Amino acid sequence: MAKGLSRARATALRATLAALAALALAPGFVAAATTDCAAEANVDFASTSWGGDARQTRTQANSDIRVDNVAQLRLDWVYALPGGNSPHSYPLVTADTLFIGTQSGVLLALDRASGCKRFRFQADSEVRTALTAGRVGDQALIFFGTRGGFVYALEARTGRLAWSRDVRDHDAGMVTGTPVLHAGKLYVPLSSSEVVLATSGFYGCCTFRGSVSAWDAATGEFIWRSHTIDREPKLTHRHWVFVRNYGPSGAPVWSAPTIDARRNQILFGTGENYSGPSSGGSDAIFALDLDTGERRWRTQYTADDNFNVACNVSADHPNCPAENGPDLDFGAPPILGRLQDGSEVVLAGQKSGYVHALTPDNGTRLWSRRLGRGGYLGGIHWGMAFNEELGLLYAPISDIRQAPPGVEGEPSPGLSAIDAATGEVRWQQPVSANCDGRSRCLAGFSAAPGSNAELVFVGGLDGMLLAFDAASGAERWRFDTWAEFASVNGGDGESRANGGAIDVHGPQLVEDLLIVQSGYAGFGQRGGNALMVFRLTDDAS
Amino acid sequence: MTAAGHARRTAAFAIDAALAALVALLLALIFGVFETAIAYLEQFRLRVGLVGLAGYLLAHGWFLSQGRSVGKRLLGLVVIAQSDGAPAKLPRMLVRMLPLALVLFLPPVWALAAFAVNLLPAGFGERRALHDYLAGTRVSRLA
Repeated sequence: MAKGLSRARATALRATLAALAALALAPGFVAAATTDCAAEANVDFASTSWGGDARQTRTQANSDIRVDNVAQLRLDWVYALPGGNSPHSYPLVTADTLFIGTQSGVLLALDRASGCKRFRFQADSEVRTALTAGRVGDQALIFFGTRGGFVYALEARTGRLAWSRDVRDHDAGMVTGTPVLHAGKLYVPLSSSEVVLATSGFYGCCTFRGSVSAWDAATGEFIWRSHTIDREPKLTHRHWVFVRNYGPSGAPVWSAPTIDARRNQILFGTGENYSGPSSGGSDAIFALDLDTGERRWRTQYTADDNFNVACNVSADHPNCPAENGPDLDFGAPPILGRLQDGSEVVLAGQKSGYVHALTPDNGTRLWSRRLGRGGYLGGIHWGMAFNEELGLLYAPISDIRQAPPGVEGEPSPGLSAIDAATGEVRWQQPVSANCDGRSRCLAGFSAAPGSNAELVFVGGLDGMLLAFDAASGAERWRFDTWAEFASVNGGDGESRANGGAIDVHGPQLVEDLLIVQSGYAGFGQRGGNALMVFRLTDDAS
Repeated sequence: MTAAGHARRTAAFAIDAALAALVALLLALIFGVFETAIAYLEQFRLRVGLVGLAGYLLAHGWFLSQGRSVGKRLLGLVVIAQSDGAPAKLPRMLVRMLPLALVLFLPPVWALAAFAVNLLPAGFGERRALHDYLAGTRVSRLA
């Protein structure tokens, strides 16, 4: 009897091993490394914010990936993010943990080596921003914002809530741009879904005004708020006899602000007016005093840009302003670049396809360079990167879909490196889209790039993840993320993760890791839910 | 009086629903029911339900007291009490409306499913929908 049982066990073991071997050889399989599911996270952060630093350079100094070892990057594990097909968050990494937000409103702390879940925190709604981390007093905190307009501060070690606040001053407000931590204060940009609500002819468009607000990072107490439009919206006219229309409105802040510590000011860009009369605060770069929120200067690049999504329904829609766009927001955070002569310059990428350079002292225009045709989804959409050593700014161009009325030129999607001092183009890499047989595949770079000393990584709307030589622009590495992958969180009922378009926050480089989310369907691209973690290996083949 | 046929009842319902929707839209415009962000982000179903209900009652109110609606009147139909065969009075008509009114407050998929379940029994026997059983009524054609 015992012998028979032993034989049965041996047979079962062999069958299990065979099944595991078959699974390991299947396409898309990713082996998990040693599992460490300790409930507490290490809080020695290797990455702390969307931009890598307060200047929003997106150049990660501690990245170990170089031109001579990039070929040794291997996909290590994939996590199927729950809650939707357009994840909008961006991870943070410590010595042993990767933190990420999800569309289901959950902040996850995952083991850095295996993706095993340490803890989760449920927020009110979709985690819509990247994560920001820092020490406040004796605590390591993680901050993020949600679609519902809340900001959360969590203890990074345990995921326990330190505080949360509704940061809106309008029902349609939401936090899309990542909050920034500086000197004990949290600076929070506010955008709005009112731009979409306007598609209902019954809606009284529009009353939202973009803003940046400051909060005590330790307690969540309110400090100041500065609106991008000075005037409160007033009744302008009625349509359909009864529906009241208001203006000026809009000028949301879609992206993370930038800290200019030397001048004690905070910089950010704005979007268009949702309704007229036009204001000087739309499609502009702002500088505010960090302590008081008082405006130092603002420089507007596109005047009379009055637009909301009702205009995409029909130019005759009662909520579409007469100007009908062209909807040329600043969706990318301005970069405070330090030039090789020691001077500083504000580098701002616009959906118009232009990069603008301004002086941080007073917002004086230095130069502008057109790199793409521009359009509703960029031009330059979510971000750029700056390599201080090379003095090069990396600007991805999307140029997808049709151009707004009045915008001329041919689409020229790709990645450009330009001299930050002069605006001269040093190199350009056009997109060669890998779209054959792929539905909802688009040719363009919409996501923000990530860079280090030697390489620039950029993700395409065709799902291709590419690495270019930072100095020469030569392609050094590529990986096609448009695929289905086995996920490490099968126990959550998410056994497969789907890659698709790479959009929004783009890749992150940190130490030996390259992290990217693949799949985004926010504007008709190919959706997905794959959080992909690549790691440098010893394998030089 | 004979039991009403499906085609006639469907046509009457379509007329009633269109008229109620028209009145509801007018109410929404006049009272600014959907003018604010909160209406869409937090109270959309509640507001759709309430304004839809108000639209139905306003459009058909007087006829309801006689066991009818505008559509039923046009197509020669009447709701009668199962017990005595007399035209249903207002309280019975309101009870009969209840399942359809609740549908207005449900998410679209659930609303369609509930609507279908409500109508299912009308395909058989006495051609009485669930709301007829609830109110003790049936729909008849005037001779």
